[in-house]
Amino acid sequence: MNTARQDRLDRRRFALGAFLLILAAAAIGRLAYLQVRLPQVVPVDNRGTENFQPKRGSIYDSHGYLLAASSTVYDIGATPYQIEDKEALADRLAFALQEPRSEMLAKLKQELSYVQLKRGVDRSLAETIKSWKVPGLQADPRASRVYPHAALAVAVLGFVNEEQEASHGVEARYDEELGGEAGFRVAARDAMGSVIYRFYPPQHGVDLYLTLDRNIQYAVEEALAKGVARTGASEGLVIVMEPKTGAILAMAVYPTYDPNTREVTDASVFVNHAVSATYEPGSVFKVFTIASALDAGTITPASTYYDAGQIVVGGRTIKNSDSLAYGQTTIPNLLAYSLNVGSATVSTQMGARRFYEYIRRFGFGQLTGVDLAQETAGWMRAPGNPEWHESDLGTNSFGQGLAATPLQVLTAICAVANDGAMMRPYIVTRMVDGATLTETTPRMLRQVVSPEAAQQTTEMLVHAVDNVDAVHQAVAISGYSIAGKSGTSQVYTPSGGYDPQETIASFAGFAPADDPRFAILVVLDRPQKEQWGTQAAGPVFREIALQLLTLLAVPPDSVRLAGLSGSGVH
Amino acid sequence: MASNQIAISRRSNWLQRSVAQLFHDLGAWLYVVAVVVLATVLAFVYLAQASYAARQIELMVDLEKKLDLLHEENSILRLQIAGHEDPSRIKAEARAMGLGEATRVEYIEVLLDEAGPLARGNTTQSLPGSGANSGQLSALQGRNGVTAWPDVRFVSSIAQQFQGWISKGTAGLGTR
Repeated sequence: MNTARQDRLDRRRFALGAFLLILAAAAIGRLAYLQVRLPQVVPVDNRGTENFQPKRGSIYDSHGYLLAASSTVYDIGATPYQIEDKEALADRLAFALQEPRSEMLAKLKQELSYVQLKRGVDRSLAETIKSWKVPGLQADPRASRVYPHAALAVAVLGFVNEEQEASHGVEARYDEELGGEAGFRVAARDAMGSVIYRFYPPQHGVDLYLTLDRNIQYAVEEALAKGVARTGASEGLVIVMEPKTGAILAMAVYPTYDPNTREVTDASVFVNHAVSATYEPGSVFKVFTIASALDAGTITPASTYYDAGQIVVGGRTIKNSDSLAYGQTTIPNLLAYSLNVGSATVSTQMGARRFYEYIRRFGFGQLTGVDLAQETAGWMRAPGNPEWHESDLGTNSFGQGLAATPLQVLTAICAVANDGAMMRPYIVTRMVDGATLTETTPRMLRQVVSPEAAQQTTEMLVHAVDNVDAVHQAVAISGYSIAGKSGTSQVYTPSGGYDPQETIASFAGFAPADDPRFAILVVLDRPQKEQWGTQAAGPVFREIALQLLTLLAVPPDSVRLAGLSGSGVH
Repeated sequence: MASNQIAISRRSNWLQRSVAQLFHDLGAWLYVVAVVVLATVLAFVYLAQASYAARQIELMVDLEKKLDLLHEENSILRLQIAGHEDPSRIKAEARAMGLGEATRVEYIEVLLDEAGPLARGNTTQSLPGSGANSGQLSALQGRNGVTAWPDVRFVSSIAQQFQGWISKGTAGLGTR
C-alpha cells in the first residue's frame, strides 16, 4: 500500500517537475528569441507612416549674402461649426491679423468644415492665436521660401511656390540638390506585437553659393531700370560675366517681379530672357565675323576692301545701315562704323564652310551649358540645312537671319576678350552640404580663335570706342580702355519679315581691354526714344562699367600698366 | 492520555517523513527554482532595456523639437539680418545721412613691403616709396636686418607722393 502510494506521489512530482521545466524552457526560449532576433517590421497601417520634410537649402551670393532661404510660416484657419462666439472671435482676429472684421466674420459663418483666414503669418502671431485656445481655430505650419531682397536677382534665382515646387532659374536647375530628401517614420510591430517606430531622418538640402555679387547685381538692375525708362524700351536685360572664368557676376531682366508674392499680370516675366529667349544680335555679331576671318587668315588688320555701299550675296542686296558708300575701307573702320557691306564681303571671302565652322565654334546654335534652367540653344541655318540660302552667308555676318540667346552672345564676346579661349558660363560657385564642400572650377570649352586673332579684334574694338564720336560719347570712361561694339537689329515679326519701326538695341563690351575683368551685354527691346544700340544701350553699358570698375577696384590703365611695368605702382 | 501520546507520535512521524522526503526531492526542485529565477532576470533585463530605450526616444524627440525651434528662430534672424543688409535700404539710409556716390576716385601709390622707422620693434608700418619688393627691402636693411634710416629713397618717395597729391593726381596717378 505504502509502495503504491509512494509511486503515485513520485509520478505526480515528476509530472509537476516536467511541466515546470517545459514552462521555464519555453520562457527562456521565447526570451532568447526576442533578444537575439531582429524585430520583424510589420507596417501597422497607412496612417502609421509619417513624412518629415527636409529643409530646403539656402542660396547666397559669392560673398555669403543671403539671397533665398526657407522659413516656417503659419496658415490660420478655422472649423466654423466648432466656434461658439463668432462675433467675438471675428473682433479678435480682425485686430490680430489686420484684416477687415466683416471679412473675418463672413468666413467664420461659412458652413464649411474648414476655412482659411490668412496665409503665411509669422510664428509670434501664430503663437498668440494658439494661446487663445479657441476650439476650432488653428495655426498650421508650413515651409515657405523667402527672398529677403525681393526682386533682386530674381531672373537668376527663380522661385519656389506654396506647394514647394521650384520654377525657373537656380531654384529649378538645382531643385534636387536644394530640396534634399524627405525622411519618414514607419510605425511597425516588433516581435512582441508592440508598435515600434523606425525613423529615417530627412536629408536636408545643400546650400548654394552663386557667382553673383549682390552689389554688382543691384547696380546692374538699377542701371537697367533707368535705361529702360530713359529709352522707353518694352524690356531689357543685362549680363555681366568674368571673361577669364565664365563666372556670371550679374544677370538682370526687366521688367521684374517679387518672387515672394509673384503678383504679375503676365507670366512671361518669370522667364529669364537672358538664357531662354533669343534675338537677332545684329552688328555685335560682326565681332565674331572679323575674329574668325583674322584667325582663318582671310584678312589681316591691315587689309582693306572697297565699300560700294552695297553688295549682292546670293541674289540679295545688302546695304550699310546708313545706305552710304565708304570706298576703300580698313577692317578696323569696318568694325568702327559697323559696315554691313564690309562684313558681308569678309564672310563671302571666307566661304560658307569656314564661316559657319567658326560660328559653331563661337557656340551659336548650341547650349552654353550654363547651370540655369530652361536654356535654349538658339537657331541658325547652315549649309546642308534645306532652309539655308546663299544670301544667309551675307546677312548672318552682321547678325541678322539667326537667333541667339543673350548669354550665347556674351559668352562669345568673352572668348574674344579671353584671348580666344571660350569658358563655360556658370552661376553656382560652390555647394555646401554640411561639412562637404563642392566647388565649381572654371572650365574652358574650346579655343575658338588664336590669341593673336582675339587680340587684334580687341584692338579694333578699342579703336571703335575711341575713334567714333557717338560711341566715344556714349561709352568711353576716362582713364580706362574699353572694347565694345553696338548692335541694332530689326525685329522679326511672327507674320514674317521685319518690323520697319522697331529695333533691338544692344551693346557688348569689356574692360580693361588688355586685361578684362568683366564683360557686359546690354539688350533693350524696342526702345522708343533712342533706337540705335550705341545711343540706347551704350549709356547703360557705361553706367554699369563705371560702377564695376569701382566695385571691383580696377585702377585706371595708367596706374595698372605702370604697376605691371614695374615702375613702382602696385 | 495514552491515545493523545499516540496521536502526537504519529504527527511527529509524518512531519519527519515529509521533511526527509522534501530534502530527498530538494535536488530536483532547486533546478526548477533556478530556471524560474533566470527567466525572471532575463525578463527584467528585457523590460529595463525597453524602458531605457523608450526614455531615450522621448528625450530625443524633445531635443529634436528644441532643435527645430532653434532652427526656426535662427532662420528668422538670418532673414532679418538679410533685410537689414538690403542694398536699397543701405542706400536710402546712406543718402539720408548725406552720403552719395564718389565723384572722383584717386589712386595713390602705397607700398606695403618696405619697412620704415615704425617697423622697429614689433610694429610693421607701410611707408610710401617706389619699387617695393623683397630685393629692395633687403637693400634698405643693414647686414643684421636693421632698417637704414633715414634713407634717401624713402625721402624722395615721400616727395613724389606729395607731388602727386599737389598736382591733383595727374603726376602718374590715375584719376577719373
